[in-house]
Amino acid sequence: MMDWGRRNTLTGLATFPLTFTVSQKISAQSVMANIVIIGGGFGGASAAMFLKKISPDLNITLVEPKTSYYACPFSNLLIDGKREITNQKFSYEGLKSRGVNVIHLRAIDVDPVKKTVTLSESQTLSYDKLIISPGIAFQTNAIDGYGELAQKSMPHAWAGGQDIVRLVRRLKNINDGSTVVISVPQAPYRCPPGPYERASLIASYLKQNKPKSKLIILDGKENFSKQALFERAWAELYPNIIEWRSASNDGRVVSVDASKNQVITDFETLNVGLANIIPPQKAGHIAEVAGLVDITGWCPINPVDFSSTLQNDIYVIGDATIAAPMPKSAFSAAVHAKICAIQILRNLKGLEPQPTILSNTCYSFIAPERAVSITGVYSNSGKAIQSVPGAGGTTPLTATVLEKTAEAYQANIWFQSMTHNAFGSI
Amino acid sequence: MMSSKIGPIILGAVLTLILLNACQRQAVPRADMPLLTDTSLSKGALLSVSCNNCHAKTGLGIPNYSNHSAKRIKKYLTFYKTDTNGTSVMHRMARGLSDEEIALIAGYLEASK
Ligand SMILES: Cc1cc2nc3c(=O)[nH]c(=O)nc-3n(C[C@H](O)[C@H](O)[C@H](O)COP(=O)(O)OP(=O)(O)OC[C@H]3O[C@@H](n4cnc5c(N)ncnc54)[C@H](O)[C@@H]3O)c2cc1C
Repeated sequence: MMDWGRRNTLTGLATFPLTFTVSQKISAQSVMANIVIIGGGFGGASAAMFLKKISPDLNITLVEPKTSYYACPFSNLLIDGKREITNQKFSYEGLKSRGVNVIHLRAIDVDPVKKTVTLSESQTLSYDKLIISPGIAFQTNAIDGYGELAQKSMPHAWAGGQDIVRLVRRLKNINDGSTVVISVPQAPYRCPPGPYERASLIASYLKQNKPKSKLIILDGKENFSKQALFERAWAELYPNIIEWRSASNDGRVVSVDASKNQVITDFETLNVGLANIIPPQKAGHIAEVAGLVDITGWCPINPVDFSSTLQNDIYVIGDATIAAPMPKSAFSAAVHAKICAIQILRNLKGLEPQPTILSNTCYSFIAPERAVSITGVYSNSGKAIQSVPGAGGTTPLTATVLEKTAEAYQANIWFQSMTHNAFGSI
Repeated sequence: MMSSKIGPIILGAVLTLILLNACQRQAVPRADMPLLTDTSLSKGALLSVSCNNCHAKTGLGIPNYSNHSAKRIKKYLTFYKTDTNGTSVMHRMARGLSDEEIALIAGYLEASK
């Protein structure tokens, strides 16, 4: 029998006692329950770590096919060449050593009625509560020609892993005088300011190494996050390198031809040295399989506790959720994770869900050692998450180089804190 | 001369550094303590979930509130909330909190030391 089989309640075997009275017999404070988490990214790993910390007796199983997690935040800094892919890599040993059962298999099915999850080697896990944090999937058919071949030669590098290394290698191989294209999908998508951070760092590389080259951002939208701050930085630091085209200014990518290195918009065919095509997105596939997505392709949730509005005893956190105006960020995913964890425990103890204040801050690098940020503060006391008036905002447009350097420093601490909280490493 | 905009940021940074030094002097290494008490499921706990996204106990130099009293935390959050010229991340966040919420966060962070 596999190791995990002993520690997890398999289908057909008795589940752990759940009710308040039974758990009280064991310990006045502890709650016994089987919690299964699908997805060991920022959402799922943070949830597992946090649950284990506040309630060590819980039986927590994390299902994640990969044995290493490569974080997206800070991955754009690899473009500069000073940051290594190893700085993005996190293992699950920290979670295992704290008593989380980590199973490196893929969840392929969820039965919300029997409350079971089927794994890729056809084992079945049963749960009292299921948390799903599967991240995103790509609508690759939204862009004609963006099949498997094109995904390799025009990588999105938007789903973690080592794709970013391939993108950087390709960037290094372009000739001076080439055109680089970044295509940005329509909202909602993972990390709203991310494409513009990437553009800034590519422009920084081009300016130093391929100064005759150009970078065109083809955008599926009319405006973007921290736009004034980015545009100011581009004008100051990378004059005449970046051209941004909004959707109504022929920014929409209709198709690509990978064999000819062409990106095609409504009115133009661009011959490119490198294309970074970031396709439109939807919730990770398992969310669809579990019946958790609505017509938008994303998962509706009750904002107070992140429980699915479509299935009982299943909670969705992170990028897969409909949690706007909170952006799809690692910061948000960790906030969802911790709120969801507390509310699940409240529920198991027979307490009502309790509304709270949520927040998000996204730092973006405008140059290798300078960052700007955007903060949002939200309330989840209503039917949908809402911004708290008078709070939040961005780095001021008038911020000095010193302040932007300080924000880059804060961003570093943020990354270290976030990964420590999720994976137990520093 | 310091501009009126960055004055408060520098003040905030200096204040937090003073606090940091103070707590480094008395720092005692603590294991991650099991916390399933009513406190860990309280409104204060829910309001505090964002804090350690940046202020985790990694010991890497971010102002760390782990040894601060509730009184001190309340004082700083109130400073950020009421300092109208401030533009730092902490200013932007604290403006979304009521005085009562600040008190709950301060109480929780002290209790969860
Ligand atoms: C270039 C870039 C820069 C970014 N920068 C920032 C930043 O500075 N700040 C910030 O806050 N955010 C940033 N983000 C966004 C951040 O990466 C995501 O918001 C965050 O990873 C979301 O967490 P998640 O748990 O929802 O998804 P993920 O972190 O993607 O985790 C999902 C996990 O689920 C697993 N999974 C999927 N399906 C299954 C299945 N069927 N069974 C088991 N496991 C499964 C996957 O393998 C994966 O490990 C950035 C993103 C990009 C692309």
